[in-house]
Amino acid sequence: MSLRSFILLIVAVLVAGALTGVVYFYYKQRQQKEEFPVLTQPEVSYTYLRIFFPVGDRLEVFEKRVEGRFLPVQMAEMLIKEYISLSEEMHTGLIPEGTKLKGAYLSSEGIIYLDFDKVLARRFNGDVMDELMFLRSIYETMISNLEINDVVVLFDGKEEESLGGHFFINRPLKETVGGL
Amino acid sequence: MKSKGVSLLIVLVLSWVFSADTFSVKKVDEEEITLKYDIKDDLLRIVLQTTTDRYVQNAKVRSTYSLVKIQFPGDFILNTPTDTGGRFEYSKKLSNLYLNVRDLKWIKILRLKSPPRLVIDAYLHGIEKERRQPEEVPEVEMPRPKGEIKTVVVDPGHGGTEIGIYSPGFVEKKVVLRVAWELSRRLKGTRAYLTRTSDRRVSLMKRILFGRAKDPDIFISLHLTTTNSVNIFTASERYLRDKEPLLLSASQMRYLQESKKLARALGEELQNVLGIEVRYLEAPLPVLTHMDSPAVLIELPSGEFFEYNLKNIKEIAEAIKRGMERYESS
Repeated sequence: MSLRSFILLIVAVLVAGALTGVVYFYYKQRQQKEEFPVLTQPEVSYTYLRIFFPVGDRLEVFEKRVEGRFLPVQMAEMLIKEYISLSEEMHTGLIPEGTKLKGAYLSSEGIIYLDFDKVLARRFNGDVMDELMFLRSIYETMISNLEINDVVVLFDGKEEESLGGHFFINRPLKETVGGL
Repeated sequence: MKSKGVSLLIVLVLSWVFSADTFSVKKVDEEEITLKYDIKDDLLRIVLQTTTDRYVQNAKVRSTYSLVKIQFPGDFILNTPTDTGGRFEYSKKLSNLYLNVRDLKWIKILRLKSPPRLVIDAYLHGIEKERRQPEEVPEVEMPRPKGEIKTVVVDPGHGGTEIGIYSPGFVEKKVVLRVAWELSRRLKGTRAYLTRTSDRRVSLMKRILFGRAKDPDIFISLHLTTTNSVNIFTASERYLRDKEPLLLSASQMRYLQESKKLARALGEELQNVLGIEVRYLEAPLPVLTHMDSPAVLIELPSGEFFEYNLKNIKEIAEAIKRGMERYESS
């Protein structure tokens, strides 16, 4: 055997070996995939809550990230819960202690109804700007996070004429505070 | 021999390509969106140029207050200009782009092709004002000629179960009723009507209807603020501008300038007596926007900062009376 033939033989053996290796690993991996589906971590999805809150005579946006995806009504309830927590943290006194959202409902016209405990209306201790900024912040919070058209505030499931005696709330909020 | 070598090389290259394709993760190209803008007078044009039409056609755009939210069908890389001229700000969260536009009135959206782009024309408040003024002026009747104040409606806020602002030592509903009483006693030769004369709840709509029925020359609503200042409100010009003039809720439109004059006159007299800051504010208050006469809402300082004894209440009533006289003679 000449030297050239010998080298050629060695190269051929190496190539054959490499090919065999590739084919072996490819099929092995395919087989593993079929037999044992690869378990990947479930993709974690997040929802960003944008809460408009009165600071002085203007609204500031506070953002919070929560895990998961939510239905509009769940989202509305979560937003109000966060809004109340924010009010407590900031000690503004804007929301009376003990204020609770009893429920949120979405109508087919795209109006979200926020049903608060009557403690909010009974103990609301604010002037014109306090009331206006509260209503604006609730409206902006809902409109910015949800695909809705308008917001209505209820107390114990009923419409009240006013919250603090300055503005109507027995109609959707867009008319009073939308576009201000 | 040469052909064998070439064949071997091809086999080697193919096997490498094959194995690389098999074991590597293919990278998916992310959508790139380029934000451009242009400002002309009070029109802000924002252009969001994409590489695929799908992103333009399926983008959901919502605007509220000063915020414009654009929800794209997927995540994207945002290329932005270094400066926005101070007219707007932007922020990106996952597949959403938020634009915060100062003085935003309304937006118009265009979805264009070649190249695919979403055009948002943001109309700012200045342009709207100029555009509407010629249409609105003829529709609004001129206010009644101003002269002597013969009839005044005084509206002490809250009452009954609706107590207003409260703190140890004072309750808004009682303070404003005392001020209203003292004021009405001083208005000799003027018909003064109070929307309530006792501690009872009167609805906002009843106050409005009562005030309109008396056809007053001026309407004054009395409240307290939570601060150590006097706030004098007139109806919100921005709120009224969007309304049909014949609506009940837009009755104040033709009296807005007179209401502002009245506010100034009252504010100057109150500042002389109380020596504290007087702020002139606007708000879409129903008792003002629905009123068919010059109308203001005065918020006196909180009882936490100011002692509402009889002497001080009389001084406030006297100052309001002098403010009315100043308005009459202006």
